[in-house]
Amino acid sequence: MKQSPLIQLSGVEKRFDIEQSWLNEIRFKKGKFTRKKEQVHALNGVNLTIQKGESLCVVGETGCGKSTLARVILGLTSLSAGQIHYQDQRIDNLNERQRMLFRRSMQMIFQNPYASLNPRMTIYQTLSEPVSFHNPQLSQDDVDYKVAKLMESVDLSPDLSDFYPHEFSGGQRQRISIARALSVDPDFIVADEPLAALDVSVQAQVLNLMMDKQQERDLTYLFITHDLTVVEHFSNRVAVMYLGKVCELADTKTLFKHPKHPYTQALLSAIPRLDDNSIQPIRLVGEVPTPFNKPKGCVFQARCAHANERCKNQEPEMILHEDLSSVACHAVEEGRI
Amino acid sequence: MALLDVSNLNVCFGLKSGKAQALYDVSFSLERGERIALVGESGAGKSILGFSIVNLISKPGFIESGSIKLNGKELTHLSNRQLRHVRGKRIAMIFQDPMMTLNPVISVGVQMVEAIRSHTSMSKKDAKKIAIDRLAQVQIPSPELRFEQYPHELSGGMRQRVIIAIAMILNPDIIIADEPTTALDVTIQAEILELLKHMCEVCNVALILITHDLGVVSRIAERTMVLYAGRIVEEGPTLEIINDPQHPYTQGLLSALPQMALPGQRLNQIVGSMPSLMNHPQGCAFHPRCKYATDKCKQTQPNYIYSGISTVACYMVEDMLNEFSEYDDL
Repeated sequence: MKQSPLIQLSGVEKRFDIEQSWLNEIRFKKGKFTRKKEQVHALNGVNLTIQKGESLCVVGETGCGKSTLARVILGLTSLSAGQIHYQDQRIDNLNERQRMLFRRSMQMIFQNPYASLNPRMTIYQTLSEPVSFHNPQLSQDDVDYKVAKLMESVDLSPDLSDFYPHEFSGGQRQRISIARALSVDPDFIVADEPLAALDVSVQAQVLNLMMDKQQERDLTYLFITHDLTVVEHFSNRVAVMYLGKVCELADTKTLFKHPKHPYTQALLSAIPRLDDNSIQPIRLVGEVPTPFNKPKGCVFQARCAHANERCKNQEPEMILHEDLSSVACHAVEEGRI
Repeated sequence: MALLDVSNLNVCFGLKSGKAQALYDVSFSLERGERIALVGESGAGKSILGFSIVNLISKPGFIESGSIKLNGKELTHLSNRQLRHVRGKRIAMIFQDPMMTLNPVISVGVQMVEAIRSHTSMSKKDAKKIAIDRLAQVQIPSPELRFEQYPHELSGGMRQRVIIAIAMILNPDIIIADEPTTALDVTIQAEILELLKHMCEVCNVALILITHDLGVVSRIAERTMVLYAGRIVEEGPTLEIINDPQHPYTQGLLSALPQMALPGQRLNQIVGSMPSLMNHPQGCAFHPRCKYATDKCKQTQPNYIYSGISTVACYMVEDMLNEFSEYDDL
């Protein structure tokens, strides 16, 4: 039985205009004045499906478009091109009012728990607001009960509900963020680097909590991170992004065992491992290209050791391999790697 | 004689509500060319220790007692003026955020020349030559061009390379690197660590690496010190610490790492959080979070004992060793 995917992204593109004064945008060309706007290509045609109950990790370097992808899916940023479907219904062209229905089922956990909680709201206020907003029929007692349950479910004592965020540690705040995301009983949670601001031992707490909640509530995660050891531990599937494109998509096990794309290989070799440091990190030569001007051909070719003429001119497509991983690389396709 | 000798260092912060002690009786020594790592969670006192070596702790903080000796010369009594000859020249620092360290309105080259000329009486021309030489050494392509550029024209990894070049420029004895790769991507992080290690080996510089990432430690440091609530709880060769941690805190720290568990399995977590400086628990500071804690742990601070080739401050380890030695006697 083939289930329809929970989220489907097809050809999603996002371009940001670089805002500058209009005088700077004017160019004189062939006897004519033209006004040219510069754009940042944050996402260049991303195709991705997320199945119900899985945790998909998105990895990549700073500036590759991971966070933009998250915001686009949740509708916090509009699209430039492409479509997003949630359970077969298109959601990217909805207005605010229609979108409200989907906000209940899709929630987000942000990176910095120091910035994402309102410092002037008590924990009770933070947690009860979404509950009573999305369930206006609930009585005050029901809301109180639900908030207490939520706090318990993230291992916080309900007695703490009248405290303000600054009275909590980083790990506790991130647990409050998780509780807030869970407060509307979503199906799908996007977590944008939820562990980046936390210490190792606290990371373990938060990661455990997220895994527990997934089991309890059958949640689907889109987990954005740059820490590959977390990916290996947490996710079912991994999407590796480079400069606004997904360059490799595979099951976690397959990806870590047989990384195919040269960029994935370099990423994996660079993980600081505890046990085995015999693997020399693959050095990527050249500068990280900026997303200002979309390069011709493969986005990675400037730093790739396997690049040839074809890579410079033709953009590689995602090709499905036998082990169900898909890779966008000419060298892999031609068997040069 | 060791290059750097820190003994019984106590650092405090004088606050309105009383005295908060950040470091308790920290002692360690560093040999020439040795690379050591300071590991611990936020608030353990890693950075304070790094800063206090060059007396960079700011106002309410002060060194209460203890000594820091560089080549046998006491540093704690030096005036600010005298310290300037040590900072930058003998002991250089690398900070976490390369954008914060470099002055954004001065070109890279001028900053490098300034560093040289403030400590030596070299001519501008010679200083420029050395600076470009150093840039090439840290593998910056087209160093002449980069010399003229401003920090914002460089990428994050490139900036950190420039900072390493500046730190190395006067051939210091020690480099203190405070989380040098935290702000960088994994691939760049690996390159910078490789470079730092290479430069230390080539120039025979000792390195004190401050980090919370045990993976980074295993890549670069020969010896590791684990800090908890201002005290060194375990010290030993890095491999020994990672493969056979003795102190319950080190064990907890290691087993909390995702790479130590099977995929999908729950991670071990250390319950509770680090005590604040204001209410330091009596006895062993780790006892409220330790599953092996006994009454003895709650009352007195354990002394350092040798366990194999590492040093540990823990009653549990001590008792275990005593038991073993009883068997040895038989």
